[in-house]
Amino acid sequence: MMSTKHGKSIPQQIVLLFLAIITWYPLIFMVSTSLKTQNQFYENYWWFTYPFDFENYLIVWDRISIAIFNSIHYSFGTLVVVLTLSLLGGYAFGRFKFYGKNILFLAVIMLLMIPGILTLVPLFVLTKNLGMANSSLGFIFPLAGFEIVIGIFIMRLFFERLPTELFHAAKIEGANEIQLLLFVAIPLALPGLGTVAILDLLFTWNELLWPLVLLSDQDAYPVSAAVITFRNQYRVDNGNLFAAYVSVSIPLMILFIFVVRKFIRGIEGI
Amino acid sequence: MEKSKLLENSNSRIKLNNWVRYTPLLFLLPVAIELIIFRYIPSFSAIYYSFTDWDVMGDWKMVGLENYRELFDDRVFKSTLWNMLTYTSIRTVATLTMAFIAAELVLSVRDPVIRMYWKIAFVMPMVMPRSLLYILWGFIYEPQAGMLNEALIAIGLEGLTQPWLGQSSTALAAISIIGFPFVSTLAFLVFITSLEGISRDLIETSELEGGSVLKRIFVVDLPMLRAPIIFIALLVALESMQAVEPQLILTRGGPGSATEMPGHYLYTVAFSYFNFGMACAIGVIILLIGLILSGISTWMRYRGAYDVD
Repeated sequence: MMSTKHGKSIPQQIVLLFLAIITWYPLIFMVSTSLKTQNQFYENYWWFTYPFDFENYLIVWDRISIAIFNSIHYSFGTLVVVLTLSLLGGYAFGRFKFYGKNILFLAVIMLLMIPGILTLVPLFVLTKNLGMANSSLGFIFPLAGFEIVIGIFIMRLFFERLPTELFHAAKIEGANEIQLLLFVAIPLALPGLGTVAILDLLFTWNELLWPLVLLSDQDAYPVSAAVITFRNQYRVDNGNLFAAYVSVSIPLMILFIFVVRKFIRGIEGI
Repeated sequence: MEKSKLLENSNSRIKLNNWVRYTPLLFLLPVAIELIIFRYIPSFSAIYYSFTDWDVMGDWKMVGLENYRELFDDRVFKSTLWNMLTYTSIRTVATLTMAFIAAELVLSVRDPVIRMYWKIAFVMPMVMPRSLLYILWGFIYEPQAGMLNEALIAIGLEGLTQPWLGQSSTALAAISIIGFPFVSTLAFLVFITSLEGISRDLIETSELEGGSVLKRIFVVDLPMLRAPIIFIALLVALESMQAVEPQLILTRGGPGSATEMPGHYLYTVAFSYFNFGMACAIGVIILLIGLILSGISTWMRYRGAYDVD
């Protein structure tokens, strides 16, 4: 029985394999090229050559590590703001009934339709006037404003599905609202917060336009913007260039290996 | 004695009720502050300043519709709208088609463990920094030692090699298909999730009636997936509409204005020409097109749908 089930899907799996190869090959090319000297690159363009040349990584590491550190710094800051506000917003909309709830929720969700590019110039001037230009706060708060909209949406759905008895029980035990939030809501909300966190990390890590507009110091660039400066800097040596590309991809890849299943399940939960 | 106790009780209940009534609003207060400062104020001021000649020095006076009139007299701007239309259409159609096909293929794998591995294989590349994706595709298109030209040489089609991004005849199409085969996308993940959610009964009924797989896809799967398909279409379209990365990273809008689109034009007008008022006007035009798209998609979602009254 099992074998016929497998047998049935073999042509499909061949097509999938083909799609996977097209999807993955640029990444594999990136890794193989990062391990080559210039000569090796011209000898064998398409695949790995031996011996591996790890020197490329040593050469670019000084510059790359700054960008990776910047990205981690910005991502962590944004994550704290986004998780806190999504939790509070989702909890308020998901657990309580109050006057004006639907209008307020609509006012949040409507923001999904406002393109980010519309507010680029006023947001830049505003951030500058608040004294946040060239600072991580100027990176964190404006980006969080975009990310919490979907975060609140996800957390609202999440809290609406929790049984209300849990909160009633804790209340009868004498817990106040702050205790309810801290000791009942947050522990239960962890899976939802996990989904929000991953989406948020992907978004922050990828943001390109805002750092280019906001930061005048290239040493403060996150990886998304820094790879562009590497491209101009290391243009002459493909090995160095691709070693830089691989290095900046690794941190999120490693994290994702551990959370990819949870991420897929989290999307299924929405 | 009893009366006063009752009174005390009801008093404390009133206090409690007030506290309970304002609790959600207190929780929402930080959210409101963040959204008002960083979303609402910039949005409204963008609309307001689009009617002014705001410049980098911060000076501005009302000029009415002057910015919009200038934009519609501007040949470059009009061509950016056409480029945007082409780019957005290609990306939306291609992403939906490829992601749906891949989702159906993965779904046809019955073994849940193997299916999970396929999902992971396509979801993992999503975490590569997106600007890197554009850079890699730039490398694919490069005239010297680019992957596409090298591949053409390798299979003996040397005559077809060309500077893909360097000539206006191919540049727009080339940036439109960056990311092919579009399987490593949120669209794929949403489609496969929705397909898995279709009741086994419906699928088995269609199989029992002797329908082919293709028939099942058109009669069962596509109508059942109407909501996620339209949702993803809108998402991809809105994102493509405001694209700036292909120009920022690869083409700078060139050659000529062959790949210029409103998003990057706005960036150029704002930060190269420092004409902030005009940039805001471009933003408002993008907003209006987006709202029209959202309106159309809502209409398509609910018109004659099986799942709403």
